[in-house]
Amino acid sequence: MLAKILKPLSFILLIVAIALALRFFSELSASSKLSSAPLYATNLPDTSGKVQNLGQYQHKIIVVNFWATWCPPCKEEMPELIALQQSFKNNNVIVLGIALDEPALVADYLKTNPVNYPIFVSETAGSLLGEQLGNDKGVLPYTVIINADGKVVNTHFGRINKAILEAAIKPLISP
Amino acid sequence: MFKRFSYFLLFSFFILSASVSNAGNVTSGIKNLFTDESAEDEFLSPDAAFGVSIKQDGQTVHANFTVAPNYYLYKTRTKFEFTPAQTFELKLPKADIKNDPNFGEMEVYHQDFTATLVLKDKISTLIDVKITYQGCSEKGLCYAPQHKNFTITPDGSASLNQAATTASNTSSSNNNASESDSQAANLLKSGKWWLIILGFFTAGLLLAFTPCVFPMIPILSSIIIGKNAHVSRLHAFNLSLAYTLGMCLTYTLAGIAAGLSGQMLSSALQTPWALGFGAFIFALLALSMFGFYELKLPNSIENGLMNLSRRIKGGRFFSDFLMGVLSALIISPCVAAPLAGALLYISKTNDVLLGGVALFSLSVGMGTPLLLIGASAGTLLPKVGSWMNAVRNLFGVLMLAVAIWLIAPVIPMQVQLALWAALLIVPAIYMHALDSLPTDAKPALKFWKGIGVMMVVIGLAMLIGALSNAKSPLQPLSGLIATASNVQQQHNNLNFQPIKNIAELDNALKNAQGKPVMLDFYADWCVACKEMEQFTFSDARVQSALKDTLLLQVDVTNNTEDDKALMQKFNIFGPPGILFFNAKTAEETHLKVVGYKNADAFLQILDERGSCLPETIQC
Repeated sequence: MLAKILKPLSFILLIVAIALALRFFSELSASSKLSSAPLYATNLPDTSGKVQNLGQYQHKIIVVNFWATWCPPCKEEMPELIALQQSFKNNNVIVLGIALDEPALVADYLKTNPVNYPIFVSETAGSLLGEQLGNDKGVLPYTVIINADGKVVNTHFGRINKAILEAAIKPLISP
Repeated sequence: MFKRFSYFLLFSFFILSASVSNAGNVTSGIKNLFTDESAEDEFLSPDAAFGVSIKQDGQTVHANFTVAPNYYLYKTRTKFEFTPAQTFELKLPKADIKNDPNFGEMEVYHQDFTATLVLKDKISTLIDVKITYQGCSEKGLCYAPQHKNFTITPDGSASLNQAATTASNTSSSNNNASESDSQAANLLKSGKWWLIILGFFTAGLLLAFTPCVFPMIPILSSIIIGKNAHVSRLHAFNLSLAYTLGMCLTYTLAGIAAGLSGQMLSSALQTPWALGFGAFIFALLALSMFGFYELKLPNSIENGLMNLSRRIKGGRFFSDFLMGVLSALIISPCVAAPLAGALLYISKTNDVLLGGVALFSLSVGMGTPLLLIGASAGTLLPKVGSWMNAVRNLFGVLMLAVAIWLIAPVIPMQVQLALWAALLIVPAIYMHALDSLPTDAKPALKFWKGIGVMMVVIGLAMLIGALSNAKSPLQPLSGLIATASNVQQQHNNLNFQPIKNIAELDNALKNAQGKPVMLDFYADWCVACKEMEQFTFSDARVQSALKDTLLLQVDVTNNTEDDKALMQKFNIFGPPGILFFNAKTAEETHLKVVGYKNADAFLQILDERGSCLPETIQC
């Protein structure tokens, strides 16, 4: 008697198992959504030690670049960020450098290697912001590109270059 | 023949894991279309790239740093801070000189090294030491500064300063999944291969003695003895080996697949329908134990397997292998906790090989008793007899208990109590608890009747509890007692402020006005969370210790994207998890609470808060 029930039952179990598997795999393609809200809510000290709210850059196309003075690839890519700021400054683009470092070291470095975009310095708050913007491993350099509507359009681990930056920025600029 | 087959299995397993690890890169590639291949071809998480542990030898502290190949740490940026402050002499070994176009010469360590600190003064109290280190990968990536806290003691036993997770770990518990998760994940993080293999093997061995494995015994016995009465010892062993390997393959594959999906498995396993499904399977298994039906595959499959095994040389092994695969699915609810831990690790690091090996050791551990049974060619298998029936019935009742325990978090307390009552009273009646004994009854009979009567009484208490709104199966009469003495037990009169997402949390932290903050992860289906509310948060001492703390709570019952993001941010694998932030809104990572803590243990953690940080004046 029960054997009869068991047969359809085992099929049902099989179907449930397949459903489970499907559910797992459907998650596979869903990538995580990043929110730019934490950026606008963050306050960080700038190079002069004055605390600034990053909300002031809302409605701009933002290139957030996390770096440090002891990080070779970060310094390598800086000239390209400077060039980007220079060529797109009239297109509502702003590069923000966030140094996860000691203020004194950053100040020393910027004396000999000045940049044309705002730099903020904070190891703890900077790391936290990086994490909120998808840098789960605390990697440097790390670059996030946010469009004028506050949507995170791109994130990049490691050394960035002009080609990648321009490919990402150009579609965002209203002609 | 068989040898070759098992080699083939192992080989295919490795091939699979290799291909899967590539798949992992592809998925991260999907997530991040904006990447140049060289930079992100698999960089390790900072804890996998670098590690530090300390050993204390009187007033000398040795800090052993590990550095993964192709990574390096900066000599000058390795720092040690003592709280309270200490004068110490730091000896660092000779470093490699790295020439960098931007930096000139830098001193770095490419290999493991040991820093030696000699403290000037005698150690009289507990001293916290914060180790900071910074490093990069040769592939052009650096890591944000890493901080690790340790405690050194007067008696010379250094320890990693983390909230010790020593809550009671019931065997293969689902609602403690978060706890065993983190232990499993921490074990994996340590990266010590033999330790990982041993740990998971032991976990598997323990799992082999959970009730889920009982139904496999008849399957195995039918495999070994069923089809041919006379098997040689070696042959029987090989058959059970094939069966075990089938199990191994299933777990390893399931593990890798789920791990790559990046889904938080423990929370997936704790959704009401998954719990219900697990309970349903257990109820079915229990029925088979009571002899309502013989647990075997549907005839069509069985016959198909038989035909297959006649056609193929070595087919017996193959069909047993398939049986193993199917059995593994049956007992999966028991394996949830260690599995979830391993999966978590795989999904976090993409180190599929290590995760796969861990899962493989787990299933080998589970298969060991089965292999022993096989090696004994069936002599170890219990012989059928009347006592065997009693044991089977006991197992059946145990499995029903597991089923109730599984769905307990998602059903109303009254229903839960009623189910417990039924589970106690009905078997007691089967044990003749209510029949009058013949005058010349055997002592054993009297004994069992006594046990049965006790079960009936406890069952009745549960039933009364169900009807009088008791709060917990552990205190079924609390409802009555409370009304009798007119004491309204107010559970959880801590006022938590609900938090929905990271942005809200940041706001709340900002507005904490210099108060310390406690963040609690809670879910309706989480038993340990409810116990925390009932037994810990209701404790007057805990409440007074928390009176100046801002209490925030995240309700992750629905496991939304926001919930997942919050849990991932703080590396919480599922509720219950409690985090503390100091008055400067920095997380006090060493005080993370995972799993259930009773009031005393929780108070100890609360007492550890508010340590003086170097940059704060407040203590």
